[in-house]
Amino acid sequence: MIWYIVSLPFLGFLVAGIISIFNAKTENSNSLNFLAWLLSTAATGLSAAISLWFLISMIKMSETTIVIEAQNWFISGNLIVNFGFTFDKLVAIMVFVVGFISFMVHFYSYFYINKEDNLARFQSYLSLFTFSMIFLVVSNNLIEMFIGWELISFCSYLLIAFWYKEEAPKKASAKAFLVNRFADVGFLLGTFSLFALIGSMNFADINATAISNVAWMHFNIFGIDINYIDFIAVCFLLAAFAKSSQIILHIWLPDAMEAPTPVSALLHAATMVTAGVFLIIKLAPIYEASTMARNIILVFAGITALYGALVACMQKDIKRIIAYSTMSQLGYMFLAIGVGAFSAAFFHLFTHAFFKALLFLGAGSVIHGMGGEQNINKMGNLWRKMPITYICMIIGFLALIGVPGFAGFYSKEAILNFLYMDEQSGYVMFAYYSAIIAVFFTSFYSLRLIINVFHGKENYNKEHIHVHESPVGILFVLITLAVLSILTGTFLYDSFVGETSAFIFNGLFTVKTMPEEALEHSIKYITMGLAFIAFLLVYVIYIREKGLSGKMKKTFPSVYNLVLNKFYFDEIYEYCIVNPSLKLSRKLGKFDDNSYDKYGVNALAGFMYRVSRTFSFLQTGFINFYAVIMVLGVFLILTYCFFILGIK
Amino acid sequence: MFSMPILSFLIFLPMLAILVILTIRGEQELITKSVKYITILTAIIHLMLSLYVWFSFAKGDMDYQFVEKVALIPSIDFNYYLGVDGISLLFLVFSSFLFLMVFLFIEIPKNHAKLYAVSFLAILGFSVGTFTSLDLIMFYVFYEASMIPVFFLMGVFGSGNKIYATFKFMMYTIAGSMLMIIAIIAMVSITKSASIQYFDTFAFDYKTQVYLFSAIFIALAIKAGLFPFHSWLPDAYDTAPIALNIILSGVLMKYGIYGMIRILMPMFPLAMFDASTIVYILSIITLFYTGFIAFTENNLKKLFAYFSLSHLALIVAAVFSANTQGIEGALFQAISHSVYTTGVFLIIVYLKTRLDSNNKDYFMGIASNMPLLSIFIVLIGLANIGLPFTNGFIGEFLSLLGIFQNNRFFAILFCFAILINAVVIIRFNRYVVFGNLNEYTKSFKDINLVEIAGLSIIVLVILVMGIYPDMFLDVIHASVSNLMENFKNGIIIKNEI
Repeated sequence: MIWYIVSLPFLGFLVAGIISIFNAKTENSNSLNFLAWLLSTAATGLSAAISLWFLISMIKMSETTIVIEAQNWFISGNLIVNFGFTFDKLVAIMVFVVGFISFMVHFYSYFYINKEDNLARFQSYLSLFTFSMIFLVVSNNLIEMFIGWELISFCSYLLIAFWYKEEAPKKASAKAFLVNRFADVGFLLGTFSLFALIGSMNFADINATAISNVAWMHFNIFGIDINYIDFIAVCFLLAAFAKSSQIILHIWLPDAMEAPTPVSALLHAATMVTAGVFLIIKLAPIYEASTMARNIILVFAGITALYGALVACMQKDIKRIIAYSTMSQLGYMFLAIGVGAFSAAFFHLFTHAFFKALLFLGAGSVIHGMGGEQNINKMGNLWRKMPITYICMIIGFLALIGVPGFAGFYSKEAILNFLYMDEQSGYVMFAYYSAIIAVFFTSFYSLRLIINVFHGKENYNKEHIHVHESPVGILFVLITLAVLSILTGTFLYDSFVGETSAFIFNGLFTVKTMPEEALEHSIKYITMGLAFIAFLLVYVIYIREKGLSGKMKKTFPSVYNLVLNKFYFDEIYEYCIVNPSLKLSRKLGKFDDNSYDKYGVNALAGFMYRVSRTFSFLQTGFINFYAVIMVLGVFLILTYCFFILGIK
Repeated sequence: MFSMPILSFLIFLPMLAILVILTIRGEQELITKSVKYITILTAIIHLMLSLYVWFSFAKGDMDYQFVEKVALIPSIDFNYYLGVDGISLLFLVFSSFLFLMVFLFIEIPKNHAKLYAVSFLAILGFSVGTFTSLDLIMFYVFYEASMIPVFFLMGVFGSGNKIYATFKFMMYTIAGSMLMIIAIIAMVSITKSASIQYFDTFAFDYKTQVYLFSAIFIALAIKAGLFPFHSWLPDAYDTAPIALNIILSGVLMKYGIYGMIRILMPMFPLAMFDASTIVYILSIITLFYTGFIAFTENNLKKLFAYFSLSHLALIVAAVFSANTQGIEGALFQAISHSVYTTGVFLIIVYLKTRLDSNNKDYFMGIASNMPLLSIFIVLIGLANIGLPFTNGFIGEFLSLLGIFQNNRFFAILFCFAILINAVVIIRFNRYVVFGNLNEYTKSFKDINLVEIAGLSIIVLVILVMGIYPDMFLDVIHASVSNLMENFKNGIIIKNEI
């Protein structure tokens, strides 16, 4: 059964891929596109269905872990790598989420992608993306996970560059791949050190006892003692931070919006950005042992949660707003990990997957209806024209803000409560307050988007753009996701972070459970209060006092520009890394072409030439003279070797 | 086939083909055609015989197999002595494979077809000799002899500034040879034996090891293109015909790696052990230096010349990590590199048949009208940067793991350094595959069936090696563990002194 879950999306990739090659030859026939879509969607859907069935049967069974192992994949010395899959309940849930969201996106794409584009190619990439992510999730050891890890970067590279005839997607895809590739170094180094430490790369061997036995071990670089566990934790953190787009390594995520919208939905909800969080949850025992790594997480994740929400408030592109929102929500997940509440992080990952997919696909529906327009300032009053999209988007944003009753509320409140209940070190305090303040900005950008897009004045050209509600296929997907965005919170709260959460997570990490009365806690009122203030502010700025934002621009130009330009991260990278390396590369190229030989080898040759000219009187032209000189030379060298150097 | 001298046959089969080719007379077209069939036939038989050796090789056995020994000069124990262990077998089979690819998929030039074919067949024979010799003197003879046809190929069939490039190549080769022959003479006169196996048990004293090691290391580093000795290679690649590029990077550069594992490791373990830091530094300089140059290089052939250099640097470093994973990774990566570089040069050939230029800027945006070639470029590019399920991944992973176990600090540097490979390939894709069509590429036609066949074989080998690495690692386990055993014994002796 497990084999089907993994291999069906791959089969979809192969079939759609082969069709796409024929398609490229025959100028995109519609029927071929439809066939590719149908088969790849069916394959993914079947995989998702099997994984749901599997999840249910796993919950019914008492077994906690199912391991399927093929024989040795490769051996080298004491390194033995088995190829296989591990299923526990965490993995089973994750696989289902990935499969389900991916199925929705597969289905949706047919109605979204233009008919002149090669839909078969698009579907094949999507299926490969899904396969890679499922492969990553069910992996047995770190090498297999690394395979999935790299493959999803590669698939995102292909998908972002889907419209490769334009300039921006090319640039964005290269950026995404290289940033992730850079961070993969962390994954490699972490794997190597773990292997050096416990002699294994299997997840089964990375349990709490194995880690606590070696927690004291150090290695030495230039006299500096480095604790193995801390080093490993930080290495994997580097990898996870890039995939899950935490600050400093986040630059690829907003640019990835150049991909078609369904890709964004898949990438943000289930496949790519969640991989980082999932990796850390998988390696929970290491992070339980390393306080240093947890503090790093708290600081970075706190800043990320705040930064993402703040920057989202000033963006104009509807997709970029939601992209920065993802970044901020991932910050929340990491905050939970920072205080060791892995279950809360996973719960937020779970609920976030549904409402973020909903928001992106809803945004796609808006863009589709607007004929490709993405600037929210050029929309307005769309709610009459697209009522169903409107309602679904509202539900998505309410879940995102964390309004009681919607899914996001339960998971976010759980995270805030865990932060609140943890010992009050400076790091935790910082994290807690940034999380609270981020709620305010989250509400602000959500409401700003809703008001600018769906209410107010119509800022688009009505003559040219005929706004229309999206086709039934798109609406079906939106409604399904909207329902799930409401239900997942209420029904699953107990099993993820409540009393019964040990049932899912037992044996994976120390499960922290939320006390019953936690939800009655006052944090709920604080966040809702902040959300309400944000609502008033949005109302004032965008509806009542239209001039206010212009005034703010004038009074605080530096702050305004700083936020508008996303704190100049892209420019800093461009200036500090990209340009110098291009320059260095050109300089080195010239150096190697001209100077290296001129002063190196050719100088030596020239020197020899001059020497030979000086001794040219020796050139008598008699062969036996040369022979004598040669024999003498070899004799001298050998004598030198034997007597002077003492070679015996 | 109880005692057929199969290795000798593998060496002399190409020589036989050379004799046949030299007797051909007639019209130029007829000559080209018959030369082509003869070379292909020879290469097929050659590959089949090497595969026969591969399959009848006893994998668990760490002794040399298929041994042939005829005494030549008994006083210094100089024999005609051939045999294979897992390490040489790997190189033997893949060299054979590469020559078949070259003969099958690269056109023979109309002028001097005979010289062309004869030169390549000679390199094939000599390379088999190099990889299977168990006698130092024989090893040296084959090693040097393989360079002679290269001069012809570069001088006659080269393009651009071929005299300069050939001359430079020759100078470097001769410099290396001088050092090596002196070292070999010294070794033979000290031990009174030229048998490579003999050195497994013989221990030089420390000072001798250092001198001999340095001499041979420089000779081999020139072949592998390590930093201060690399500058022959970009020029050579630029001027050489593409078939020679494949053989240079796939077979002749690998002499350096093979020599380090076969000669330096068992014979001078102490010097090798102590030199590792220096070699790491040289490798890391090579990686950064050549990687950065490849980043903005516009000449396609030079770009992949620098790119090969940066790959070889990692392999050399992995050899010097001197542990099982490092050596096996180096070996695996060495043959992987041969395979995917062949793919790269095949792609360049196919681009060049459409427009005769080396300039990258002329080949832009081929994704729109050459979708099939684009798929192959992306796939082979993936192998180049070591993405999973390609052979580059296993090789890089094991190499880096080996270095990590030897030296944490350098491993961290190497892990970051190989990023430059990804940058190069991504930039290449961005312009060549996804770039904007220009006036030249607009009229390009997608690859035909023969071209598809060539690239498919390469991709197939890349995938098979990436998905079933054990098939290839299995062969070398016993030999590598034997090697490590000898190496460790060599180190222990130091402690006793």
